[in-house]
Amino acid sequence: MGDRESDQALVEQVLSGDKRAFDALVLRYQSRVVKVISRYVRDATEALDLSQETFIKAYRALPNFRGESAFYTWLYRIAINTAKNFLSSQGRRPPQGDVAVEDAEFYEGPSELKDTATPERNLMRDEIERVIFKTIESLPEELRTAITLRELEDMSYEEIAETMGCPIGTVRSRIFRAREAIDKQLEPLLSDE
Amino acid sequence: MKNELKESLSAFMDGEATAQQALFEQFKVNAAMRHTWARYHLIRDVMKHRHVSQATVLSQRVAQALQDEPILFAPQHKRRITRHTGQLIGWSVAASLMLVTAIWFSQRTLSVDEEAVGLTAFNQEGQATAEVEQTLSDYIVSHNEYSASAKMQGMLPYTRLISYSSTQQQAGNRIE
Repeated sequence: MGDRESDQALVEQVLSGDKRAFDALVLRYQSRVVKVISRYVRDATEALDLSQETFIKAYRALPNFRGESAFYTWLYRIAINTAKNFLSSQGRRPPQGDVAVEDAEFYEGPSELKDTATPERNLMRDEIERVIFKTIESLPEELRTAITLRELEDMSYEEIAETMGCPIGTVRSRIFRAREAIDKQLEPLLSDE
Repeated sequence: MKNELKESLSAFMDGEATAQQALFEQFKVNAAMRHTWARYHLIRDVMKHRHVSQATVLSQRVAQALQDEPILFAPQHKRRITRHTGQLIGWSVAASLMLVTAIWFSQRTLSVDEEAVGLTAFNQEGQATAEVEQTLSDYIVSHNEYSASAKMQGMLPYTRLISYSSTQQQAGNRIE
């Protein structure tokens, strides 16, 4: 089990007429799509517009998504094509060094997006990151290990249970409690936005 | 939002949830749940160093843009038969057809012998003939359908040779 399964479940939910389920996919992939597109356009406004266009195209094409590849691989392809078509329409050339579609799920390369955010937004971003890492550091060891193995090592619950020598139900609970502890610190920051 | 539901959301995010439908129902109506989902993913993105601060406005923009889009429904795809499955079905039908034909020939030979010695009543033979004719017709129809879908063109001339007519039999003609 992993992202692929929950993505597929969300896609099926959208295709059963539930438009709201698409929001969940957007929230999941918005940062990654912006980051990939920012390899092609460095202007933040253009990157956001193209990212939005990518998701709209994906929504319209969703009935054709057969689940043969991971949802993100499919979305990545749409994002790349949208960015390339945009550059072509502007008479601009795409940069060298595309990331292969096969590696799309693992791509976490540096963003070249020119940060046009306000100083307040930059401060907020730094504060969010500081709060998250500080809270993780302060977690009890079993919660910190569980969330780290899940988020950084991409281990399944079963693998984490084996590693930590505890039942899967305990892993599920520890990961949730870790997320809740971080979320509790994060929520007040974001509600002020 | 109840902790139980949040824990299910957390597990679903990791592809480990079982009761998904209840989550989907809540996701439709519960804004707090959508915010929790967004923050859980923010935590993930920050931990993986892929958080882009500008992206946080994207979901609202997309949701707004999708308001005028039609609701989607899955297309009714025809059930796809893979090449190997299709071939397997085709060969199975062909083998069954050969077997039934062989049995029918042996029965017919026996029937002719019985006729010769006057042991088979006419109405019994008529009933048997109708059953055999129906069985053969079914197999030929099935074979033709599957051999076409499995691209077994090689079998087509063979099926053309097989035909059955009760009138032919009654007239005492041999099937060629």
